[in-house]
Amino acid sequence: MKFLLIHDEMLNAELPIFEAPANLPRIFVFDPAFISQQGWRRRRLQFIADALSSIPAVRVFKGTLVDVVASLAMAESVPPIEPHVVTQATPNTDIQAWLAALQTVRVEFADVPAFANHTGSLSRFSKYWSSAEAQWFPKGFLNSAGQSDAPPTTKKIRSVRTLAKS
Amino acid sequence: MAITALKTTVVEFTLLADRDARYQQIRELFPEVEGADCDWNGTREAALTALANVDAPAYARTRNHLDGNVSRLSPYFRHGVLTLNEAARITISKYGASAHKFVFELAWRDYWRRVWVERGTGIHAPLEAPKVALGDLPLPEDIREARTGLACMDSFTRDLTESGHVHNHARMWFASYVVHHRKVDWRAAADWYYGELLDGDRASNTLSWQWIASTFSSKPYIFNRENLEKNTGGTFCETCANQTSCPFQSSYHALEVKLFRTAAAP
Repeated sequence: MKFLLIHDEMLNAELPIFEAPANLPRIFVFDPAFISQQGWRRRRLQFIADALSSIPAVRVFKGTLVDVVASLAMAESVPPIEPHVVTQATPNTDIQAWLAALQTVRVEFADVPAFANHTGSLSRFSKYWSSAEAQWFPKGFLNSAGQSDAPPTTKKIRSVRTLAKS
Repeated sequence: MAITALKTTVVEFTLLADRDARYQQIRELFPEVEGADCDWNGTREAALTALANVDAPAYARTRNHLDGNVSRLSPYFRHGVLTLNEAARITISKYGASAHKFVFELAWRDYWRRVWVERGTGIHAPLEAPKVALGDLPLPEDIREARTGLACMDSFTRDLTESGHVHNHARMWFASYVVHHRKVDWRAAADWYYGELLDGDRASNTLSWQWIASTFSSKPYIFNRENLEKNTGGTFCETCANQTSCPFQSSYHALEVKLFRTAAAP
């Protein structure tokens, strides 16, 4: 059983991860323990609910992530087969820790288009910006009245990880 | 409300189409989560409208003023409802080189996330030695409850706790006040701020507090009354009970002496 797990940083059906495979069941989980750990206020849940309402065919749950995935695995396949979760890659260590609770579940992180191709030091923003600026505003652009017709060439951040099986 | 029982600990529900009803639905499903209702429309449609309304030249000119032309897009970026790439692409397409400042600010958000990739949970500890002496006090109740007696700071706190949105310049002033004037541990303040913000993002928030504190910048961020008055139209100072004893009424040099008499150990 394979699911597209929508986390709180990917609330937009036009993101690349929603394109392929398009027929993956989409789920979002309001996990009370995660919400409490985040310290979120009610408005945050309502904002997320708004965003989810714009995404077609998403099944929304309240419960722990582990229980929701286990329930779906039991409900959707007889006999139950090991679930496989696809989600969007993120540097968000809170989300990573949350997903880590799915100890025996394969979790696949899909690519995210990069904003800029910077591979150098991150010690100061100015170093990063010199790369990003050159891509979004190529040489000569800032002195022209011209219109940009293309984003920078962006490579994708590849991060596919399978959580350790117990 | 369509609810399907799975495991006894799991509830599936269908989000209601009407926004007011949906907000009521969330209130009922999560009674333990406190706070005011959302005054922001989180749909993709609303996000695209907000993006279309960005006036990049006006943003570049006025964004530092509390009444300036700001984008109000950050909650959408935080939740992926809008992407930085589409915002930059659309704005440059519309405004050309005049979108430079707007894209510059978008890049900060990407930068913070890259630092998060590199440092992981390490962003919650000082990334560098502080350039000045920092305090380690817990967050005082008078700050949390908007009772400092400083009209500006108390207003910024109310913005935070009542709507979850604070102007970027106000965030900087507030963080500087909390960390450098009140000597609060920036981590305690950052945690509280993150939970309250509608656009709360661990990378942007935590690293911005470090930037203010000087644990991820070359110097601490401080401001004086002149700067605050200039960018607020003086509205807070006019009604402030402490206008004659304002802690920000000073030159930058005098503020540095007052706040950082004790140099940090090298």
